[in-house]
Amino acid sequence: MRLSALNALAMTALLGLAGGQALAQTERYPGEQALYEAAKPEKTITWYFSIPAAAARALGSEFEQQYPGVTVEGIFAPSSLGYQRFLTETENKQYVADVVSISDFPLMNQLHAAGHLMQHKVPAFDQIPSAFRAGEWGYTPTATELVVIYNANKVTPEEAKLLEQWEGVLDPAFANGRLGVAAMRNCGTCYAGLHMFLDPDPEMQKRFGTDFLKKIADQKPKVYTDVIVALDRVVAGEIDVYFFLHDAAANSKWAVGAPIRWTKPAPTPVFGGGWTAVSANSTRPNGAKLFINWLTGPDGAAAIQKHYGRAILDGVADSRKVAQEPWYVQVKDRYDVDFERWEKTFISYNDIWFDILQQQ
Amino acid sequence: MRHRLLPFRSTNLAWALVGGLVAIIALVPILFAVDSALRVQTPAGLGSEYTLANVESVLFSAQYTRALMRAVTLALVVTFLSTVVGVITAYLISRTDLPGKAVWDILILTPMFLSPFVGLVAWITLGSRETGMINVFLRAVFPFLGDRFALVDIWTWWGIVWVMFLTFCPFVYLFVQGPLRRMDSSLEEAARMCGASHLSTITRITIPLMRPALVATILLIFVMAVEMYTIPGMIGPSFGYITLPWKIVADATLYPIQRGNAAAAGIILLLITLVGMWLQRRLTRKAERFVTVGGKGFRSAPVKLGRLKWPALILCGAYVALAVVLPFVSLTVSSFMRFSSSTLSADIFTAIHYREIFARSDTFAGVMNSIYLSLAAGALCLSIGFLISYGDIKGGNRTARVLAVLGVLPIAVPGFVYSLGIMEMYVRTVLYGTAFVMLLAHVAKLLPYAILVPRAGLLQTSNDLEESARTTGASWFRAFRLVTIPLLKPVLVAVFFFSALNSMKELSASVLLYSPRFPLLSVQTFHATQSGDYQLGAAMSVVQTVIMLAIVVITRIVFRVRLEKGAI
Repeated sequence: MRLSALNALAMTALLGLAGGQALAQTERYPGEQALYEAAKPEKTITWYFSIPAAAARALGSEFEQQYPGVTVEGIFAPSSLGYQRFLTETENKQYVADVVSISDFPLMNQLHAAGHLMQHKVPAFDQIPSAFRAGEWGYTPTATELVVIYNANKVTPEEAKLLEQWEGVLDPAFANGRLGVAAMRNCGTCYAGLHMFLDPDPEMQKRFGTDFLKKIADQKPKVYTDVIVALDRVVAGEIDVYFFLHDAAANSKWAVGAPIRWTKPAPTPVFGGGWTAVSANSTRPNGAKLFINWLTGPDGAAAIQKHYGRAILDGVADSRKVAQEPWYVQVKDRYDVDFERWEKTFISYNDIWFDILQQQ
Repeated sequence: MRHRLLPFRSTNLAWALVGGLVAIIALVPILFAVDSALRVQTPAGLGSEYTLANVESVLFSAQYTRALMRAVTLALVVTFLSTVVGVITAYLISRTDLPGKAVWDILILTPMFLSPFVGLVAWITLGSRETGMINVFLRAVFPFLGDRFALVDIWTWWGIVWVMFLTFCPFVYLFVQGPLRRMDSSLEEAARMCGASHLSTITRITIPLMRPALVATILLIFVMAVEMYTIPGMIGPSFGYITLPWKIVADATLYPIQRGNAAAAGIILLLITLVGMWLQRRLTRKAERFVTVGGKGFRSAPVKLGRLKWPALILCGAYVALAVVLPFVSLTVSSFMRFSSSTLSADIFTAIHYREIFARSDTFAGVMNSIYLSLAAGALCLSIGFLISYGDIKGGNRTARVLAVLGVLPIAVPGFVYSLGIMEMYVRTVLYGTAFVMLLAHVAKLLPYAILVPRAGLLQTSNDLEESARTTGASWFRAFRLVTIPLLKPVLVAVFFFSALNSMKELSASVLLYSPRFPLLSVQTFHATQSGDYQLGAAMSVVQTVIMLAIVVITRIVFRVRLEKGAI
């Protein structure tokens, strides 16, 4: 018995050594092995995330398989909840989170301005498009692409064709309860649509502006304050068409067989929706850096596409199953959001939209 | 000569300890909430300077006052409906010869096992206009009704009222059935012998005697309803109906964060509740007027329903069908589906969600932790709450009297604002992140109910029996253990149930204090539903319901509470 225990110990040590040597021979970036060795004694890192819990768990598992001995403890803290928790803890010197992901860039920017986030240039820095990184501290490994989702059992192919243009939702075919829209203040995706429709650029004003929003309200859409409920209602067939939603959320339902499809009318708002950084006060900084390096690198991108949504890394093709579908389209004309305007107009644009809907 | 019911000198230290504990765990978070209301708001949260701007902007804003009026109106309607139906069902099951009491008793409590959000999701699946199971079923069975026919539409004001009514009705039943069972029927019998009708006896004898329990119940239901944000918050905005609790949650959690406004609005609700509490104490201040359990012994003979038996059975059956059977069928069916659908086919069903619950170590740990935590919170709330109420009503203890007011205050602060206060408090301590903090937070949130609910039972019980025991040489503790506790057993069991079951469902504090090292089923259910996985959330809710049902059944066996025998 003692012998077999010793054998097992020896085998484990040998395997660990072999694994470490294998990693050393195939370092994905300079210093990876040293960082991994430094992270091992830290054992665990805590990640505050805002993507769906199942996806975060799967990403954590993939990381743990690649770096045995370093585990990821995830805490689901969507948007402002994560921000408040992280801020309150940090201000009271309770350094629980090592890596924090928040969907709203303005909140992340405030944490950075307060000095709560670490300067850390990730190895894949140059592969990350500039719209998806902030200085050398914040990175978003996924893109949020705005889509118009529809129930394929309720919308005819001809009607689906209409939805390839934003103006298509104004077609009388979608009036009186077939269309659903979001009116919620906790939703960056929902705001991103308003951000584009109310863009002060004259061309955009001519095409969209408040008139466009009023015409949407004239369709008498069903209004939802929870994007997840709205998605569920399209899946169930309660409403036929819904916007605003993002590609990853739609994909999560399509992947389990829901009869939904979606279009990406041009221009399509695309922005970073999972801003991630290392806490400046992380008590396990090596593990935290190892994790963010992985998440923003090619392996993280592959894992993200396997378990969640579209990765943003240059040179990484969309390997998701949905991308092989004949009806699926990639973004053709990207609309980049302006985060400065986002911060200034978040409330006022939402108020305009809520007022229009109230008057419908 | 009257004995003092508590040996005060020897328990001064104990009262000081209880007082200190209640002050710390219940009051400090409120102080943090008040502090938040008075701080300058910045885009990043709260500043360090103080101001009255938040209070002013809330008090003088049409948006907030309109939202407050809506919340109050909604709460009044829901409280009225829940009280009427809850009291009728409690009366039928506790005081009459209705067949199958034990089964009805469990069934009527069953909706309590669901969190309001999960109950709402079940009713969205059942009552949505186009795809709701009820409307789809009716259109399929009665094609002549047409494709657009809809009997129910949950996305309306009455939809909000309906789901809230179903949520609160079991609470009324739970709070009222204990005092009803303990009531001496001789007064009612005397009224009947003098020629009073059933209705007249109930309105002129039963209800006045029940006043302490009814007032406490109405206050509790009103407070819970006026603070409810999930159901009105999810349905109301679809037709422009924003209530104050939803506005508070939006201010506290959504970008741009306006925690100062949220806290200030929370203080408005605190003031409303304080008025309610003052009224409750005033209406029940002369304790001896409500004594129905005295030294003369009492009988609780069941009222014979006679011809009313069938209407009573139909009423209970209809309630159970609508409040229990339909939502639980909906949830159970959902829990076996891959995604929501109004058309059912074989390929849509799966057992993957249940496999996930029991295969994943964290969800299994969540189940076990939830059981331990709810039992501990239930036991602590019962002990502290009953001690305070007993000291206040029977002991005439000043500390207890103060604690009976202070300990109830957390009920008056909206759950999320109070939970932020709890977090602000514990984050400054070394306890932060431990299971112990979660337990203290749950006790703080549930203690008000544990103080208020036994009050009615204590007011109904005369001091005679305990004093007789003391006169014949029993120590205070012996008299308390052998006389008072057995007399109040149904009320105490109700307090334990309420505290334990609500601890298992508690969300607002748990989400903020959650640690992966102490996973909880309620938070995992929240994570699943917030991630869009309603089917996994439904499966977790089914598991949670089974656990709660087991707790109720086991506790009843342990405490030997058998309604069908009409005995304590």
